[in-house]
Amino acid sequence: MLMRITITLLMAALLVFGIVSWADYDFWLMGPSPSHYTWWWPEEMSTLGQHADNLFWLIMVMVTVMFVITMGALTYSIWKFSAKRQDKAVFSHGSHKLELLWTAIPAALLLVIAFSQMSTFAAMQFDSSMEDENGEELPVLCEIWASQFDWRFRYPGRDGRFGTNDDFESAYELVMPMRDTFGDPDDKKVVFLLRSRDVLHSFFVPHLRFKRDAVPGMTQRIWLGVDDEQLAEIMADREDKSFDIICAELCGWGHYKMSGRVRVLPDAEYEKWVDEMTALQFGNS
Amino acid sequence: MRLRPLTSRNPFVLAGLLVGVFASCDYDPGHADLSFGLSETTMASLDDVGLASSSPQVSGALTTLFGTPQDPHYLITGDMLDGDENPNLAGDFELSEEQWEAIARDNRSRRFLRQLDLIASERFAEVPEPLYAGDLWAIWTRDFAPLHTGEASEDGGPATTVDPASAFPVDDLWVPGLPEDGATWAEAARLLFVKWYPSMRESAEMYRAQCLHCHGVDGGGNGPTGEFLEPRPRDYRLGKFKWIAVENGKRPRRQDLVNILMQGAYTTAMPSFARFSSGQLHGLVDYVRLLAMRGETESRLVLEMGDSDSGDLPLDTIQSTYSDVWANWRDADENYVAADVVVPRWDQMSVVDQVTRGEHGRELFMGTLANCFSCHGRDGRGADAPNLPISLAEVVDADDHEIDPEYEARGGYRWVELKDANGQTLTDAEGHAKRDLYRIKPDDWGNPSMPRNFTRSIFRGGSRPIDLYRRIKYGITGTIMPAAEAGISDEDIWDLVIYVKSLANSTDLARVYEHKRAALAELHEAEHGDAGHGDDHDDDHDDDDHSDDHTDDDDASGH
Repeated sequence: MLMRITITLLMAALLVFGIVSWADYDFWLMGPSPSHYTWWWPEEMSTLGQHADNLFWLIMVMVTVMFVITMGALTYSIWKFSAKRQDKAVFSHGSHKLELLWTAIPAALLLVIAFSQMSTFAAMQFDSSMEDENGEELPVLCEIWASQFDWRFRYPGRDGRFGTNDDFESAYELVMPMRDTFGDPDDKKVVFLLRSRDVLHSFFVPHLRFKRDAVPGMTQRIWLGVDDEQLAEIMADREDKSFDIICAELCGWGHYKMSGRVRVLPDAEYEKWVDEMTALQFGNS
Repeated sequence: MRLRPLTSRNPFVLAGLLVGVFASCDYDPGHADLSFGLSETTMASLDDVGLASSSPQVSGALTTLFGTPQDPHYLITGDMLDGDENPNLAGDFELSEEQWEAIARDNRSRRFLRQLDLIASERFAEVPEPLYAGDLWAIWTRDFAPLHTGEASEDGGPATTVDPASAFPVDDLWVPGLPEDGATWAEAARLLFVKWYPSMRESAEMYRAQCLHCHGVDGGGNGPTGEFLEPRPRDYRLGKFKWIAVENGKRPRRQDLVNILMQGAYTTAMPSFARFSSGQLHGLVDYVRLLAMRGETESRLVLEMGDSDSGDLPLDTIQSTYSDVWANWRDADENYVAADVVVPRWDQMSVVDQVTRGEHGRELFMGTLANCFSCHGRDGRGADAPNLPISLAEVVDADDHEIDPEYEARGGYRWVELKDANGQTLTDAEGHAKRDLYRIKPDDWGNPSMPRNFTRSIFRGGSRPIDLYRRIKYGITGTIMPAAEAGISDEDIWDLVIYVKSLANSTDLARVYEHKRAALAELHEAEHGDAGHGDDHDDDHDDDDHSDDHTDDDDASGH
């Protein structure tokens, strides 16, 4: 009895500890709190964000229902078949029908998940999603380099080619244009190369609902699309014009300090920024 | 009651363990029990002159001059400072308007916004204590809050508007821009905010949370994680910093250190700290300066002590040493170099010009005047070169028992096989290759020198042309990289920069990748053209294609 009470209390304490530390970022003294801290997902502003969120909720609801059912059954069994109420064990070969049932239901649910995510997954991941209407590859905006323990973004400069003398680098801050590639406000795509200098990292932008591992030795084409209406809505009550980049893969002792920011600019302002960075690149400050 | 065995299943043991874990966590770095110490070098040199017992004199003097980690400050002496600059007053130094604006902008976006919003909207009772802005909180509780205690809570309504400009002495608040009449709380909050700057004590706390674990309590680069890092964290105590815009050996400007905090030292364990506000970064730099000055003063005091016969430290010696050290740091901004150099825009240069100038750079690189190749190697691969560059190391006796195992573990020694005139490896009677053991020259911090491998396209102190120009022209402080010889003109240095950049560009990974994709597309096209449906074979050709393409790329890598 004492054991049970102690363990229950300890678990409760751990739960409270976890919630407190999750809720109170400054609890860990790891630098400034994220500017717009929320208890849940931040607002999404990606062209695919709504799809990602729908999938999240689909799975969330499924898992919650299953969790309640199975935990309910477990709790009931513990109570019903405790030694106090049932002192004699019953031997059973099981039920063929039940076996079938609890194999078929999860299988069906998995199929639902599998089919419902296919189009979103393809839109996010497939190379064909990074081509224009003629099947030509969209140009790369910049290289995203992950390394222990910071993010660095290398832009090809005005000539659009990497490995030339006008390349410039931006530490910490990824600046991207809205870039209306197809003239369709819902179809904005900016392509990046994602790579790692040393170990596994993961490029995670919560506001864009984007997360992808950066694998050493591998160059991945990825794309981000910003929904400008959503962006304008978020910006309306926000002084801070940039959004968090987080490393979502434990990459070493300094993993916690591996952060960055994304700033999304209208195309004209982005061009201005490139001019500024080029001037800085050839400046003498 | 039956006694339970003392295992992890015993609830008391479990509870004890958990309580122990929770109790041993100290979330407040301000309470950590830390104190400044003397460096190992100091103790060793005091030992050498038989003055080990006098070390309390040195540490006592240092405590007087620089305080403790909990209360760092400079001792203000009469003739030490020019004008009325007071290093202990937060924000009372030569920051430019732009820097102040950046501080204000960052603060606004990241911190204290809530407190100041509440002040501005006159909901004073709700103002929460901020974790970092202790000074802001102190000012608020001292000057603002008493004006409102009770007023907001009596009827629950908004507090009576008090004219902040007339309610308290404006000068005390560090808000000199506050209008004399008609100021509102919103204006007061805004100006308070703009002028917020961390105190030395707050910066020291931030240093403890962010920097100490590598750089150590007294900035010796000897924090707990420091020993696991390669390259090692900087030891501030020599007062030498590598990535600076002043002449070789001079003290860095405040802006140089801020730049490193913003950019990080790429591919080392020093990341970018751009997530902090400008105010916080400038505050950190203030504290790093204090640690560096403290370390410099320490080593100089030990020298003075060794010179004197009695082993005493007279007051005026301490004072003059302190003033000397201060003067170097105070004048750092005046040593700013290359501010008026015109950077050639070779993104706008013709290909012929680029190639010609790059070729001239190559000649200089390989020549004996600039002598770059003697450390960076003929292929520009520096310490990564298969053959050890000639002037990087010196032969040592392999049987010598004085080989430092720690230096060896860090790659400080290399075996080099002896070759004859034809490039054949020489062998001894038993057929083993003859070889010599070389010891790589250390830099001022005692680390093995690792000349940069340009083909990796990584430049720790910045990859902009002007950064490379400064490295070549003024050398790198504290390392074997010397300042350029007098015979090398500015034009020559720019040619060298172009050549070095072309080495970096020649192996650029993105370019290799572009070529690979182009080749793949061509292959795809060809197979589609021949067979009509060649999709299945694409992957098989992948690897062959890559290697071919790589060589193509190297050929095409010129300018």
